[in-house]
Amino acid sequence: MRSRPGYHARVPHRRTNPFARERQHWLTLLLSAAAAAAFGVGWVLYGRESATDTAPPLPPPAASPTPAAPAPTAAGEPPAAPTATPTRSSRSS
Amino acid sequence: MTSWRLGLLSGLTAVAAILLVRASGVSAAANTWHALRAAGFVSYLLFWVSCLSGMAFYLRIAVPRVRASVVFELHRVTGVLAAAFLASHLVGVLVDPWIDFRVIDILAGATASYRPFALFLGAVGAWALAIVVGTTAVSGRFRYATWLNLHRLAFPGYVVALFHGLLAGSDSANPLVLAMYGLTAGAVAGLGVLRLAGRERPVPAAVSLPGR
Repeated sequence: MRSRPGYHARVPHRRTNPFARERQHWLTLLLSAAAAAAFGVGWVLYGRESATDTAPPLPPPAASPTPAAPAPTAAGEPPAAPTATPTRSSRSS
Repeated sequence: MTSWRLGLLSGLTAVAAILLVRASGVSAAANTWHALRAAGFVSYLLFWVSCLSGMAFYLRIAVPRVRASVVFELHRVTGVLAAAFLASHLVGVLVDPWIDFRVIDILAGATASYRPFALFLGAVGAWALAIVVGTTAVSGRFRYATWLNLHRLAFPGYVVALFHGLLAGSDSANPLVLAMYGLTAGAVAGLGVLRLAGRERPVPAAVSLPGR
């Protein structure tokens, strides 16, 4: 249909940027690869950063029983709850 | 468009990586948090490059040995990639086991239990980026003036994304991170001053946009 004479004269003009017709495929691939690499590097670096945290490790999941669970005291008070400080010290506000 | 396909592929890949880590087991909680932080930073930096290159292209700032078409492609590709990594950041926030975010918390931000104001800013920035990228994808259906006004949402979107990073980011006290935010904001502010200070957009000698 577009090959019919006068087609472009009849179709309303759509504003297009002439630069949009140029494709820099190498730039697209390079930027995508760089972004993915930055994401991976950032992920690894954050993982290493948390590995050096001095905070105690993550609390065990609720399904797994805690070994040597402390018994209630004689007065019937519940034992002190284990510290459940998150590993991500960066989470503290 | 190659950039749309690669942006979609990048986003799906990053989302898949986060979901796989989330399902992996013992260290999933920490790894999910690391991944979504990394995705947030990458998205912010890509958004920044896109804003900068867009303004440089609009102002026709000549970069030595770099053609204007390259600047335009840089603007377009980084915009799409920013949206892709933003999507993976949002998916990471949704599946993060530490704080139980709901979909409404992602969409509105203010309903979240964790730093609601900062997340509200993030939600606003995400909506702005989504509108900018989405309307550009179907720009042929809009009048140019309508599309341009919607596209300018990128400016407030960038500003709220910056404050979201500063307020919600857990490593905002890090001097390197602060320096990064300062430099990126300064660069955008500098070009913004050029843009708003009534700088005459040079009329190109050879290139004339059709329909103007």
